[in-house]
Amino acid sequence: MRNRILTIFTLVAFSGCATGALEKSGVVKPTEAQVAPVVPSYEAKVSSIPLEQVRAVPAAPANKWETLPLPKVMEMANAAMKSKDYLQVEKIGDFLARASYLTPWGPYYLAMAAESRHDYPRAVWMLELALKKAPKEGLFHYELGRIHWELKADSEAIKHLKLASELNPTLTGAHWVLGQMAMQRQDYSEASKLLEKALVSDSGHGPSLLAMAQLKMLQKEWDRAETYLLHAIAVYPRSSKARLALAQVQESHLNKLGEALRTYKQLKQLVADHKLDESVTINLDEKIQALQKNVAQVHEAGKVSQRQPATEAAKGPVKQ
Amino acid sequence: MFSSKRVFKVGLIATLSLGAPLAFAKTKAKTSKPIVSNKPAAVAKDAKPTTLDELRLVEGDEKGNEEKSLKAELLVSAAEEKAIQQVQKLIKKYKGGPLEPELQFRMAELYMRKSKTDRFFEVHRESETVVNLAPRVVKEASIKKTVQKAVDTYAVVQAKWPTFAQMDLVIFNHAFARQILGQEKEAETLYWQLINKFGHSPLVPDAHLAVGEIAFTRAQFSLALEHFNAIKNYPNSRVYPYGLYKAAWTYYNMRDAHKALKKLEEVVAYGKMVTEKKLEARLDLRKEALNDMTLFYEDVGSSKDAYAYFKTQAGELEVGPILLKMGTMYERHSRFNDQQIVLDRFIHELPFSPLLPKVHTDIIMAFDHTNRIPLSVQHLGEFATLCTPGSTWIKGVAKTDSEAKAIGGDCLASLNDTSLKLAKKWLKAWKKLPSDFSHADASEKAFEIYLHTPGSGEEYAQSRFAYADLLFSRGKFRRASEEYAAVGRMTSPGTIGHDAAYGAVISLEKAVGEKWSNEDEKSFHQLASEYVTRNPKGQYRLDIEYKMALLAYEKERYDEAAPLFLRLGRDYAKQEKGQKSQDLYLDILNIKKDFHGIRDCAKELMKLALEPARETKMRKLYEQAYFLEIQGLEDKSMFKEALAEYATFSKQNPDSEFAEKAMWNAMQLHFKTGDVWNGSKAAEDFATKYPQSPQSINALLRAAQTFEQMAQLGEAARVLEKLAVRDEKGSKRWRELAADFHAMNGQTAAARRLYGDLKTSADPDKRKTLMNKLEALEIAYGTDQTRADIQRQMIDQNIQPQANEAKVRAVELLLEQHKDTEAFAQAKHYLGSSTMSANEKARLRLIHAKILEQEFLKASVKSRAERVATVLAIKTEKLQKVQEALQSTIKFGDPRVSLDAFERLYGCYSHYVKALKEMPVPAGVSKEDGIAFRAELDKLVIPLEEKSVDTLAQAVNFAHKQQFLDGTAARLEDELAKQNQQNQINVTPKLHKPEMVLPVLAGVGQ
Repeated sequence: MRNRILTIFTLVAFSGCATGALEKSGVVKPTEAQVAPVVPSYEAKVSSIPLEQVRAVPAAPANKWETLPLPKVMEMANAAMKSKDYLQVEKIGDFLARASYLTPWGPYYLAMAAESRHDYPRAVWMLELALKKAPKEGLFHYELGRIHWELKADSEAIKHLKLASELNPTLTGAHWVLGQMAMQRQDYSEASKLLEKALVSDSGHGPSLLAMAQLKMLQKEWDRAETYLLHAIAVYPRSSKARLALAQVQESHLNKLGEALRTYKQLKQLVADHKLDESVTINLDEKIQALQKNVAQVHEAGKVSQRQPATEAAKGPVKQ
Repeated sequence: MFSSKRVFKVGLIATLSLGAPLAFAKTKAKTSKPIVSNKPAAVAKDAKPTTLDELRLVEGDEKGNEEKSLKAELLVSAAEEKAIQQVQKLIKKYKGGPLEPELQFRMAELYMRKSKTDRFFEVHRESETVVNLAPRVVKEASIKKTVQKAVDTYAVVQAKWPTFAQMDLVIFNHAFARQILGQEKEAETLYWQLINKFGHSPLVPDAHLAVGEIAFTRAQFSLALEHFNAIKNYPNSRVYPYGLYKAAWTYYNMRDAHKALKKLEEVVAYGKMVTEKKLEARLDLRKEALNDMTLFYEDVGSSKDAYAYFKTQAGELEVGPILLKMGTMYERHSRFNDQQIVLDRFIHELPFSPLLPKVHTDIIMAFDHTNRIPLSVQHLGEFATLCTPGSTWIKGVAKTDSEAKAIGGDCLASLNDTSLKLAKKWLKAWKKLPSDFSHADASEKAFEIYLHTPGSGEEYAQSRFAYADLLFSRGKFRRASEEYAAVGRMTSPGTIGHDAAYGAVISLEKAVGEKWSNEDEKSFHQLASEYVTRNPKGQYRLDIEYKMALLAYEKERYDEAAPLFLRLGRDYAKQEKGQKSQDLYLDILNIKKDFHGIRDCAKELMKLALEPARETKMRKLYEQAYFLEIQGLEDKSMFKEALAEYATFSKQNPDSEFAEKAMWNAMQLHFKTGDVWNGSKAAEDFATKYPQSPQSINALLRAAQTFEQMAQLGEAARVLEKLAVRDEKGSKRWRELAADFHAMNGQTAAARRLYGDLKTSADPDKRKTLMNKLEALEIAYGTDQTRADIQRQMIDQNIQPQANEAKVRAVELLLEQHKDTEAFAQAKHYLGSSTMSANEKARLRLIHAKILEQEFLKASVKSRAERVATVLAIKTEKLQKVQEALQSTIKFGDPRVSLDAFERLYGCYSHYVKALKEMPVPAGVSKEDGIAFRAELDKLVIPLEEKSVDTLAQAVNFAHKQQFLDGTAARLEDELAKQNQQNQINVTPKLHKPEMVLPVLAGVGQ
């Protein structure tokens, strides 16, 4: 695999482009031949949508895209992507490459089609062409990051994801990965910023919520950790780790014994119902008993804190 | 010679004017019967009045009159024939009787009379009318025969009846008849016979006159003078004045002009006497005498006195004609000064003479003869004044208006005749000697005078034309133009009309020179129009219309010039000016930037069978205009239309020098209009069609570049291959790029071929690059076989890093195949190589570590009590070796290999700890010893445990720094937490490749 990564980069790096070669050749004088290099020509604002959220649209009759507006054609290409009709994606990409020559979308969809058949050199080349037309578009870096990830070219992947994150705020996945990487190297401030960005883009982004919860726990911001854990559980109700973490935070750091007890009980119920993603290694019964005892003592001592009820998400169980 | 002329003239007068009438007068007097003059009357006696009416001549009816005369003569002839027959009958009847001589004489007279009728027929023998009407009569008529009959008859009478009472008359008529027959000698004898024998006869002076005439004819002037002087003895004779007159001429012929003049003075004096005494008028010969006096006076008198002399001689008669005659005499004898003196005096003395026009004419001619041209011209002027309507002279001469008009008209006719004659003459003289301008000046003035009078007709036109020519020749172009124009207008189209109209135009052109005023141009336009209207097929039509157009063109009146040039260009397409017109028309269109017009015009001209060079020029122009027109469309941003036209142009004019540029521009327009696909295609077509064009490479470059930008890698590769052929310098570069694109486009065969070709001629560095590319190609798109082939080649050629990579990989394979010894040895061998990179060395060292690790892990710690120390020493030694190998691996600095080494080191420590913890108490050891043994082991375990956790912490730390995406760091963290017995749950999700997202353009929902 390592070899494969190297060779792909070799192919893409060596292939370069005619434009670059032309510029270097010195043969063409722009004023005479009016040969222009690929210049940034596209600055439209683009947002992104996860593949699963793409809706199906009817295809153009006889693939006559000439009369359709660009967004509509792209909608069809996206639909073809979702339905894994990569031949159609290739056709639309080819059409856009010629008809919407100044936009990056032709090369982009050609790249997507190439990626689908694991033709990564071509996919990377196409994405780089798209980037030449729209160098400020993070989506192409995002896709390059994904491809490099696939090829285990970690540093390249991170580089492109970073650019993607910087250029396009809607690329939640990029923000999350980078946020989590920052957290790994204990750059919590950067991690917080990136994860925040991810959640701004998609407040229900589970991985970001979990990562953010973990970050807050590392930073000992227990209240916020509890909040993110509650959000995360809402997204991943089957997450045993999230529920256990929540219970621990409530019990050990926030001294919310009642909430903790409730969380453990819910956990126990979910275990019983086999509705968790992982097994729970602690003895829930002991834990519940000990807590019940503690709660009773506290209650008796009149030291039961008057707290707000837990969020709906924490109430679990969730639907299957 | 001079004298013989005089003789001849006088003789003629004598014969025709006097001789015959006198003879017949005598006959008439004697017979009281009309012979000739009363002929009609004689006819009238026998004819009915109606016949007379029929025979009356009608003026102007020549043929009718001829018929009438013939009829009359036939009647007379018939009557005469009848009379002759009658007399013949009488002679027969009275033969030998006393009446016979009288009858014979009458017969002779009738013959003489008939000879007159015969004369008519002889004279008219050539007349068709007469011959047709009376062929026999005409044929038979003969004067000579008839007169001969008369002569014979007279001779008979003279011979047979010498005593006949009228013998003097018989002899005289006989002599006269002989004279008619040319028998002068016989006639002279007969006249002498009369003078000598019949001295008392009244016919003696006539006989002297006749003899004198015969002698005069023979130039026997003395003899003639005798006979003429003899007549002086008969003052009552009717031939008396004539005898004087003839005597005067005889003196003159005898070169005695003085006496001759005196004799004529006698004639004049006699004439005065006849008038005074109211005698027979025909005896007054003053007019003849006065006329002839001018001749004689010339020899003896002075011109200065001439007026006074002739005034005296003329008396009550007009002296003007005589003076005029005098002038003529001087003129004839080239005595022009004398002529001028006489005529000057005439003008002075007779200011109201009707002859003044003639006098002026003569005096003008006299000056001309003496080459005093200015004076001649001056007199022409005076003459013109004389003829001016209402002049003093006309008023003085004419009595009525109509007469004044008639006189004025005659005067002008004379003036014009003279002025024209002289104008022509002087013009001719000037042409002979152009350096002498006096003739030119005079001619010009004379023409002016002549042309002052409006006129018409061929001569007038020609004269005016000559005048215009004269002015033109003298550089007086403007006036010449006016005169030519006048001629052109007055004449019908023909040679002179054409030349005049053309002359008018040309003269104006010359008069104006280079700078044309509006007025001049207007005049030119009018003259030119006249020429064209009157001479639609005139030979200079082209020149003139061309000039018209040119003037308008030069004054930038292009709308006026253009249609003219256009027509001239069409009508005279093969002539020089026709072609110039075409050029100027095209130039106007060019000025107006009417390239479409130029194109149409040039196309039309090309259709004419022009000379090759011209046709080529037109074709070039057509193409240029067409091209510019298309460029105009471009300038107006009508790109679509321009594109279509460029395409049409290229198709229609494939050989044009602009075809290449048209294709080039079409290509540019494709790009300009955003149709880059067709632009690229057009660029490729351009290079294919014009491979030698300097733009060919650029076109291909652009096509390749654009295809590339449009992600059309197959197209780009194809074009680049073409470019490689065209651009020798960059050939390798383009072929390599084409191969790259082919590879990227899945056309592996083409890519492989190109890389292979390039590789054979490449230098080592380049070859390495190409091998790398081939390897990448095969890895991405090839088969296992092709991949293996390329890798083998790279190893064979020691291409780095692939060769070393292959070596390392081979060692790793040995390890995987559990060939540890081999693997270890190979790794060791390669680690000694300086060509190995740090990564490769790390991997090789890791192989060592893995082998040592296996040995360490395999080393069991189970043993008897006495061998525990040895077993643990062996295990520890193995650990140390592994540790050493892993640590050296880590030192090579390859992140992944290092992390692997860290993990393995941690694993080794962990394994040793576990092994020690789980190490069974050797058999046979007591409980206490067992406790002591465990305690000793614990002493070994604790530091190892710490080292294990430390190593794991180092690994975690290292992993954090490396930012691997495969979850290694998280996994190690979990392990560390476990080792540290941390209870806190880590909820961090496992990293995974971010989900695929797709673009959504603003305004489009999903």
